[in-house]
Amino acid sequence: MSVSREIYLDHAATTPLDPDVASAMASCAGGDPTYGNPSANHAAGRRARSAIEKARGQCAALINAEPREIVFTSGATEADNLAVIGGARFRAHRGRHIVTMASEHKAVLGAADTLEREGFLVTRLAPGSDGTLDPAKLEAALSADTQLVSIMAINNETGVRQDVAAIGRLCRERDILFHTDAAQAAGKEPLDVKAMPIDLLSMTAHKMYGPQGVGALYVSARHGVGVTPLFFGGAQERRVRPGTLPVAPIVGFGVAAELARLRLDQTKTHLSLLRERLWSGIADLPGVTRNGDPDRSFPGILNISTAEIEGESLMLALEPLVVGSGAACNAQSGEASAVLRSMGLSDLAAQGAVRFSFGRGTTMADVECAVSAYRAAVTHLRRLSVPRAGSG
Amino acid sequence: MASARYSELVQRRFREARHAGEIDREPGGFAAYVEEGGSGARIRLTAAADKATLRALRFQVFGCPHLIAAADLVCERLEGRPVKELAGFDCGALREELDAPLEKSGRFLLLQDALDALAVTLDAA
Repeated sequence: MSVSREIYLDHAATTPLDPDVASAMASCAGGDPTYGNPSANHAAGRRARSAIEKARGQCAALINAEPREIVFTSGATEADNLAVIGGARFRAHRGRHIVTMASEHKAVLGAADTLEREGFLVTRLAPGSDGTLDPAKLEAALSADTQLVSIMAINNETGVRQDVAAIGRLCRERDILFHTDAAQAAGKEPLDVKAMPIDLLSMTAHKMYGPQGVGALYVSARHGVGVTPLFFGGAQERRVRPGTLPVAPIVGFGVAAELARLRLDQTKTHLSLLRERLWSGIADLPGVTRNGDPDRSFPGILNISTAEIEGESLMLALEPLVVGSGAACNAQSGEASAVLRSMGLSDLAAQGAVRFSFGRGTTMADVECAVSAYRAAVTHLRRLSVPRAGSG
Repeated sequence: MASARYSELVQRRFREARHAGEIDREPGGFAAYVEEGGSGARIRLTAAADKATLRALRFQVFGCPHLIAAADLVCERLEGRPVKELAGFDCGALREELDAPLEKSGRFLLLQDALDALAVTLDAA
């Protein structure tokens, strides 16, 4: 079977805009104009504010939060920065130690680097070879100085889930702020910030069929939780995140969050079937390995490495499949995935890894095409390749 | 799409690669192998040659699409040419022809090394 059409299997990087979301956003400029500045007190401003508050409620409902606990941002990167830097600074008078993982998104790791330059102590825990963090390892890393722990809910490259509830309990017992980057999890997996328990949670609209350019940070109203702002110049978002709010993207985010909540179970079953079909179609290829614990990973992502296959050539050979070679944010640099290296993969194996990520619109026929394309690409590259001298 | 990073020539050579493979070493067969430590890229060239002429040239590459395309072109262009042209082949000019980015210079140097190594092997025979 040759593949002649583009097949989008990079939903972990971004998802297509849902038509209902697009329609809601268009209505902001059309029949139900909400072009006023939501901070203004005139009628147009009030309409805009009302639309934003509805969206705030929809986003809050997705994670069982209160609407007042949602702070809109430009996306998950900003939300992560605000949570990690803002959270650590908020608690700096009590201690200057934070704990995170080496396999976190760069939005968290970069924020941790910034704190380190300010004199904070940062512990970056390595995951096991299956991508998971042993809560006992985290517990051992905590000290009286620890004020913030940031561990992502679902890894963006491998799909591996961390035991957020166990980590949350561990932190709550010690009154440590717990932040989770839920950019991949929100809208795809059940999240309950009260039950888990979570103090700070980042999410973004464009990974749940909403628009790019808008996200949110959940900041628990619990006593002792807070973030010091990174921006200045306005009273919006309770002064935590000043700046005029973009009404149409926020409205779109709200609709996307509501649709995601309603479709949660249905989507999960669909994704599981797709992932297992893809894996069963290529698992017999010599040298193919699955990265991350399949029993503890989100079904929308399958990350695989193939021995003796060069990553850049693999990406070209796979076209017209659209897949990820690690995080989209790393794709331009061509660097081997830091996430996979932190799990113990060699530079070469990490550089040759491919991430397939499925979405609501992915069909079984798409996956069959992906199986054919992957097998053909590996066969082609192995025909061209030469074993390393001395490897037999 | 990944293909946006490659010229049409690179894409065509990468997909078709008519000179991929190897030539039996005997009789009149010669081989050279080089590898780059950092990227893991490696090339094996095999040639059938009489005293003065390269009768056939084949490549095997573990590397990026630019390197595969370059190796295919080199083999095509040197087949039927005098053996002495191996060492003088300008891989820098080939990088420009393929519109490969500067950061790929190391791969083209590796190809040059492979040609030089093959020339030495042939010279010693």
